[in-house]
Amino acid sequence: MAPDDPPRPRRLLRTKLFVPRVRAQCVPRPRLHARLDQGAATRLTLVCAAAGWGKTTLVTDWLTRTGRPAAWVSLDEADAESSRLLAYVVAALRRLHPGLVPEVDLDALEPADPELVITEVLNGLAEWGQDTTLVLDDLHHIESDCTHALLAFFIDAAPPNLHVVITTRVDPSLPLPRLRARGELVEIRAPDLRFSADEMQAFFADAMGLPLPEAALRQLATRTEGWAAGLQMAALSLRGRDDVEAFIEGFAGSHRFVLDYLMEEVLAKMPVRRRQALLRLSILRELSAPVVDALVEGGDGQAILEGLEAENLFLVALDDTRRTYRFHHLFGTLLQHELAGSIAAEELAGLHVRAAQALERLEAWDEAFHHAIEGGDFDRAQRLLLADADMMIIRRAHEWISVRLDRFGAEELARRPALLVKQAWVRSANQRRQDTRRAVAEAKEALRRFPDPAVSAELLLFEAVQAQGCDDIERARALMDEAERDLDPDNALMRSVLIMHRAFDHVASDRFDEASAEAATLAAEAARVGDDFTTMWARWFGAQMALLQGRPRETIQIMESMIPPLRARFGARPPQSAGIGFVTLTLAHHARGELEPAIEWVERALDVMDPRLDPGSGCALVLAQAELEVARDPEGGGWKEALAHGERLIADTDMPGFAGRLQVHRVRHTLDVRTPDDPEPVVRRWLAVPGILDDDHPVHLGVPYATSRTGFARVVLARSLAFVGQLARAREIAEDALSRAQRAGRKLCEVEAQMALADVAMRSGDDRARQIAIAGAVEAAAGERLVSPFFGHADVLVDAALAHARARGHTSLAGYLAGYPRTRHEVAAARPRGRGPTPRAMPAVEPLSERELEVLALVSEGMSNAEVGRSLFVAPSTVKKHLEHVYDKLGVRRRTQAVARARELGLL
Amino acid sequence: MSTAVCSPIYEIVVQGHFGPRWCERFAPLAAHAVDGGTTVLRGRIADQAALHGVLRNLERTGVVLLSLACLDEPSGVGRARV
Repeated sequence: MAPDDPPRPRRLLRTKLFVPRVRAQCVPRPRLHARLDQGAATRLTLVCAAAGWGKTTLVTDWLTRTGRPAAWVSLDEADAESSRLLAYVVAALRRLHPGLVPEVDLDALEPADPELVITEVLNGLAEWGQDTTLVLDDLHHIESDCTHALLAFFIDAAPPNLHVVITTRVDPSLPLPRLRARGELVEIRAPDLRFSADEMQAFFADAMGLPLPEAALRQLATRTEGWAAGLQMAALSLRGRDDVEAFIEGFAGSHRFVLDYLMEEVLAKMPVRRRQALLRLSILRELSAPVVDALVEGGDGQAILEGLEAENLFLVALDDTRRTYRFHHLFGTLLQHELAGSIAAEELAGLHVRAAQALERLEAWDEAFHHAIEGGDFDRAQRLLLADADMMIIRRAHEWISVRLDRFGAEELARRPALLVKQAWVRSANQRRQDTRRAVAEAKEALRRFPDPAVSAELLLFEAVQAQGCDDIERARALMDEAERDLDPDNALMRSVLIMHRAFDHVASDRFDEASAEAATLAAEAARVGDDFTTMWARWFGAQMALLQGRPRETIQIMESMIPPLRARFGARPPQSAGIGFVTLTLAHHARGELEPAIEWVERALDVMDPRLDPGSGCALVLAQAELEVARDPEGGGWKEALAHGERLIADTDMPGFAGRLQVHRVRHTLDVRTPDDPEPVVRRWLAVPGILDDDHPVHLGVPYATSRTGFARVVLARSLAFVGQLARAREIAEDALSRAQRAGRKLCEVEAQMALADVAMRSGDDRARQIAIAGAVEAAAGERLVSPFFGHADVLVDAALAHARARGHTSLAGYLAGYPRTRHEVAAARPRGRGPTPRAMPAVEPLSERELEVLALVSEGMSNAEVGRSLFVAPSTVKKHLEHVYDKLGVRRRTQAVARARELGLL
Repeated sequence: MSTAVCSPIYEIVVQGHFGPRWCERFAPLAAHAVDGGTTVLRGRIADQAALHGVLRNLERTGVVLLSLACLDEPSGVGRARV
């Protein structure tokens, strides 16, 4: 497949949702069915026993006989990824009731939040109200602790109409004692599954048509201990035999392992060609005619499959049309043993490769990958993996990649630079420099031994992205230049990554035209290949640049036009990355002085984002949050909590630029006349940072805000110097920031710089200079009504600006300048709540529950719903529900108000 | 080779006797049938991961596990081969 083919969708295997078809000759087991009925009235039924005890058969037979509708999921190793398991569970439940819950889109821009999905599923089920059975077959394949924890949460929070049935060979890590104690667990284990004398008699006589004398039955019972697999195999061995009793005699007298003894018998009496076919096919995890054709020469695949099924040779049908089968797991394993013992290793590998080829033709990518690995065809496996890897990187589906990379083994991986580069992308996700460095070193070492210019170019690009994230802009630029030379021109996704970071680089250096041009190229390319992630990114980037250039109306317009498609695509579950768009909207409204919508958007961002998953975006969120907290409740200290939260987020990452940004915002907010803090110590400490006055002090570029070295940070620096009385230096820096902002057309920064100059002039008693600066600020701000740069300045400056705006007929700006609360007393007076009486005198509120207080305490630390959920082990939507109760009780509408109110009441 | 010498010897007892083909599958453990219908699998197992791998292999084939013992300290110096 050519690298520029559109990305392949990840498909769910429908066969895994079918209840495996029960063979006609199944023995009715009423005593066990009664237990299952009992289980269907409670929370969880656990059918737990070793291989071959008939667990799956029991459950399918029970479902068939009772006609009970069930959602069925057959699990295998590939489902270790929790998002995949969830996607299957959702798909299975939707087969019962399509309206229950929206589909989980494995192709979503990023993996869905599993807890959120679970909560939606459970709410959907509770609302639907119908008794629902969900069977998770072969749960022992799932070993990930994280998935087990999710499952425990799922079962624990399940509504009474959901009944989960689990079949497994090993006890699952679920809180079984608790469920037992509460009487919410029905267990069926090996002693229960053992065939009784009556069941054995029925099995041989009715199901297999082999009536046996009682003595023979007794011997078989003792020998097999009622083990279903043993009985099944015994029946196969007995079929067509004249010497039944002698055979049983011999079997009973042998100490050989039951299946060893019987398998040999069954295989021995089989025609050679059939035996050979059976053994070869045992390598497949799923059998269909085209793959059978590839493995068995000169046979008709479909006929072979139907023949094996008719003869009861261990096949389980996975659909109603007899197209797909799998081997019964235990017998499949035994046949694989037999095959491995009967042919050379190379021949076995060759079979896997043939299977991989056939499966690749069938576009069964995952299975093809599996067999390519098993057959040692690592080139094919690499090709299959690389076809999807970049899209998975962009979607942040890191688990998907690392699970597959692991299968190559360290040695094979070390000789495959193309894979090691992908490993570097995956490892860098947590932004820890140590992991990233090691990954880069490994890739470089591999490239030294196995040179590959295109891969080298990708590694350079990777390093460029890392350098940019660490604010090493020159190095990033040099690396990008170098990468561009050799980057595969057909690799659309890597080219997108390059262009995105080039665009950031242009913005950081005030080259907006170039940045726009790059974004336009990117958008056109993304539209051509149907890459909606990049399309949305390009539009967001345009909105962000408009804001930087002082056109917040355009920003709002672009972002709002993205909301309907976002809603159409994701419903109530927007992806994490949408959160950063909400932050952009927050800042745009804030710039125009529209505090209410700004607060709405930051609240929405807090609802959808989990800053821990992406510390960079998380920092942007807390900065916006702090900004709004200052405007809303400067005394509450919410802004300090938000910034402190940001510092915790980046504490163990490697993002010095963000630390710098947080610091700049802290200084700016303490200088703000609305906040009660004394700026003196904060400002002096900041000014003492070595190199802080240099104009190449690091600033973060990852998200292009006006905090670059030429912008906002310099303005704050000028104001700080003015505050400590270094007026000449302050004026110099502010003038420099102003001229750069004017040249680049960064309007917001221009107004900020003018106001800083006005501040310096005020402090030096230079009325004329002050008047000029104020006039400059108002004229620059008026067109787009940029109000936020005036916030937090001394009354006398804002009054002067207001007078100038009125005199010049800038009525909209004047209105906002006159209307916003300028001091903390005005802010307090303007707030609907918290006015007037002291906390003690306020009317009593309904007491908050312990859980609600717990949630509120974490929220007051600046955590988003997702983070609170993670801390308390509940779904984000549960957090939301708790918060809604809190809002009701406190008579507020938002989290920020709730925290403030709770503080007033002394609850926090 | 040195790791093999240093790794501990394990003894796993399972139910039933096994034909030669099965015994191959138990490698690197050597299988000895014991009167009374059990089999002793014995050999050096590199580490815990390998041990769990062996147990999983038994579990997958439905073989019944009766006991498991480590006969050796990891250093293994000076102990006679069993």
